[in-house]
Amino acid sequence: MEENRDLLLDVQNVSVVYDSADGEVYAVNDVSFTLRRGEILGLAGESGSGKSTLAYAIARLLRPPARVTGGRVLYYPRARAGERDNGRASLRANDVDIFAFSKRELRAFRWSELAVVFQSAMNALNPVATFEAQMLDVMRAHRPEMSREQQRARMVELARLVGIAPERLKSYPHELSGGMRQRAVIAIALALSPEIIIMDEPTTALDVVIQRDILTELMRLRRQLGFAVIFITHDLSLLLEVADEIIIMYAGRMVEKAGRKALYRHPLHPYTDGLLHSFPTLEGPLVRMSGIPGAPPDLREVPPGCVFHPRCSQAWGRCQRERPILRSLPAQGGEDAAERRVACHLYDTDARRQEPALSSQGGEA
Amino acid sequence: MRYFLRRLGFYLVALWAAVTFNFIIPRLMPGDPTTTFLAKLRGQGHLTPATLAALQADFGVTPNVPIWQQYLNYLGAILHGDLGISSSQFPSKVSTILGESLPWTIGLVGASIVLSAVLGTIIGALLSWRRGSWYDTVVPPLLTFLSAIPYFWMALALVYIFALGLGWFPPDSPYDIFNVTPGWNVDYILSVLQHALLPVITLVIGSLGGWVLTMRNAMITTLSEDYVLMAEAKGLPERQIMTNYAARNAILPSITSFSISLGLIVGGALLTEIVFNYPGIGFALFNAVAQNDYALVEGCFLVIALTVLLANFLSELVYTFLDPRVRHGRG
Amino acid sequence: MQITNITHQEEIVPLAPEKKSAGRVGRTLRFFLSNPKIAVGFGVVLFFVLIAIAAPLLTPYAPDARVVRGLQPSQPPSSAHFFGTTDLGQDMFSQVVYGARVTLLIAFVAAFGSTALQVIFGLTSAYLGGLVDDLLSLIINVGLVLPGLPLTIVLASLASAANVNKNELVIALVLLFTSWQYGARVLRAQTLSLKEREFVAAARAVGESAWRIIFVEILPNELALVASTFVGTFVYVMGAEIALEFLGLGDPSQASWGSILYWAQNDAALPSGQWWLFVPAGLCIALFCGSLAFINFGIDEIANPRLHIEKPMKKALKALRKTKEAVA
Repeated sequence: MEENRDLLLDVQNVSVVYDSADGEVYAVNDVSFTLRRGEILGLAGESGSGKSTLAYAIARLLRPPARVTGGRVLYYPRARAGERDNGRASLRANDVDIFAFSKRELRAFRWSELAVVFQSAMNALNPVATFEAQMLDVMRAHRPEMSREQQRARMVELARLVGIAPERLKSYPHELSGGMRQRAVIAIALALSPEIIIMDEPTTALDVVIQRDILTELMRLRRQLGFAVIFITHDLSLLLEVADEIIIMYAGRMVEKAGRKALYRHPLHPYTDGLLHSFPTLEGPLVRMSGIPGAPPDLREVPPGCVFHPRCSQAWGRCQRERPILRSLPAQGGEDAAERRVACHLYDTDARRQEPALSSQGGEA
Repeated sequence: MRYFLRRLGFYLVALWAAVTFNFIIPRLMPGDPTTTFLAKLRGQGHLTPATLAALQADFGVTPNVPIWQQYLNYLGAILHGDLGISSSQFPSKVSTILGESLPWTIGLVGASIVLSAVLGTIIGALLSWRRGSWYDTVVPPLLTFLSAIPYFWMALALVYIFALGLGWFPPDSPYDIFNVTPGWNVDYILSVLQHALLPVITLVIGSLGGWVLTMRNAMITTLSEDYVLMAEAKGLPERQIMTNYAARNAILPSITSFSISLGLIVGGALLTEIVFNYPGIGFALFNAVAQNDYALVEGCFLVIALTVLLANFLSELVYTFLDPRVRHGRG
Repeated sequence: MQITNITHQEEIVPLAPEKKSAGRVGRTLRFFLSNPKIAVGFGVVLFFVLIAIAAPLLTPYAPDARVVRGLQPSQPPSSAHFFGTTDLGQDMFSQVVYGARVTLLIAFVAAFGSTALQVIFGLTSAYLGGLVDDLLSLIINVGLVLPGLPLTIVLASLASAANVNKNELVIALVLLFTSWQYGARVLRAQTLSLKEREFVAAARAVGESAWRIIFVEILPNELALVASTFVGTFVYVMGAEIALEFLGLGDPSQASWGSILYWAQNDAALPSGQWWLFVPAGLCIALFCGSLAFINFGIDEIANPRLHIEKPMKKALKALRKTKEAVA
């Protein structure tokens, strides 16, 4: 199926706050991006960067003490052919703000349009219910027009799709192996053919061999079914293989967004650069590894100016005073037509003209 | 299956321990359990040596037989349901007395357990929904407090206030012995129910706190699990999430803690019977103790132990049925 | 049903795993007392303990002394006798106050001994594993399954029938030996999970003896649990002790809260409306046991952070109900 490059999701200025004993802590600070149909968007960052919080905010799965304090998420559903409106709230053909959904609209939206694959399949599955029960319940809740036979048939089809033998449908989660559990969770996620699937570290809990298997499966399924993916992980190397676009997050803010090839070849933000150079290569000469010195900031006491400046080798005076804005940069030409965005003073040509002392950093025109 | 057999084996061991305890302890005490009784009998007239010997045999006193032989005889007698003769209610057999008392206790305890469990679980689940509300702040500590009060004092207080003070309930006896004849007639049954109300209420108040708190705490823990979040993400109706995903998992610790506290429930029932003159096993045990009727004491203890073991076993079965993880040999 | 606040399946967050020192003990104590439930419970407990200790100062009458004679020795409360007098003309207030000593002492001895057994058996059995564990677990489980109170009654009755002197000690011992199984099992479960932690492996690698590892490394991490089971044991033991005395299996001639109730029942206090014969003692029992339960409740809140509601969350909950960007 050819990937549809329509706009699917338009996230605008979303902020999420945690209410703590020390006051409000910004876990996600003014993040905006777009997602196109069939696109794989990677959200990368260290623990505490806000990537999971952002995704759960979009899915409206946040729990106290977290709450959304600003922004909206516009969703552009595709009119579905052959789907009858059963009198329940149906989604309008033009954009809708997910944050403004009523309870009914939200329920209709859930899983049919947006599904979630959780990090630990063992924890995501109800231990006292069988695999098939957990697939059937979502079908019964959202597609009551399907007959029992139809639902069963769909279930078997889904199991085959992810490579689980139909005999295992009646198994309990603890009876399945780790890889099978993750496939099961993916199968459940695909049950209603959603437009978007959020995957929260789907392979982190698995060993590398199974990781590869699952990823290959995912990519195949995506090609076949055409859903978009928001892929959350701390493992940038993974995204470099599968994602179309990658967003780098740090301390709740977006610091860079680029297509995967462009990001790999020309990382702009010093943090991205540091991340890329934290992985040793399998082949090649032994190189002294440089990690990124320091640690992510305590979100209750964020450094002034650029959040990253204490750990940045390129920082200068302005970085300590002024927070860099996320700017769009013209395409690099050649790699892909996707825009690049980066929040770094290094790329603010006006600023650079003003400040004298600068370390050399390859950049752009 | 192996798991099941292992548990069965365990219960058999426990039963054996109870029986052996029953055998050993009285024989460790100085003196003969039946001397007092026999002395009383002697005072009433002749006792030929033959009668004496026969009586002694009835009571299980066989001074010339080695102890291990006595033990085996004892075990054999029990297996035949022969628990001896009661000295305080001579010449009734212990097993007869027990047979009459047991149904009263089972009725009492059974009813209170069912009520406590159902009410407690529901209230606990409801409380966990309303965390931070005033019910959640007030009810758990209140119930904790009530549970800490010794059963029988609560029974006494309730009798004083409701039975003697307000006259709402009858204060003692299992049914209206003056006006009603036992049997399968409506009057009798109604009377039994009426007289059982206060004892049952006492037991329920005392044990409710445990059920409520265990369920509430388990629900709170369960509600923060990932599978509940996934159920939310799936857009399932809230009631389905609460029952199939949350409560279904949260109830497991309640069953475990119920099994553990069975002994305490029985203890509480015992005391309640004494306060209310309810002719159950506890009441029988108490009177037997007061009158040094050792055969009856032993018999009561054996029956109580057996019942508790059985109940434990049953609740383990229920747990196995509810938790598939245990079924598949992870026990 | 006994409240099992801490189910043995939950993992308790251990308090700071460091060696003991005087400063740490003080800080731990203050930490516990900062929880309002614990503070209230502890306050009440302390109050009763002080009353028990200060008994002679609080009342001029000896508990057994018959101060009211005549046809109606049992008097309702008055200014001369705060709690009235018993059927034998003894001052009820004195009985309660002196009785506190006996009751609390027996309960404390039994609870302390029982907790010691729980710690020793629970921790050792879990740590050593293997045959020792199997055997001890069997003993523990059999003890758990045999009903406690009937067992205690039988033992106590046999003891009293044998005319063993010093009934209080017998009761304490009987209670001790029938109450340790539950706590031992809980501690064993917790130790089993702690056993796998790195600090234990490190200690073993350094060559520490098993004894040291159990009592110096592992035990401090289970303090919250030990405290909780001690309190729970105390409640149980006290209830059982009072029950035994109520049944006449203690020493009825010595004033204790349970024996007060025994005499009240014997003197048919209820039907004759002499409420002062059993209400004061009963209330003391209820208050004391209730406070212990409160303390346990507080410990549970501390140990299981998920149960603790923080104030900002209440604020967030209110904010959530107002704003539209609410969680679904």
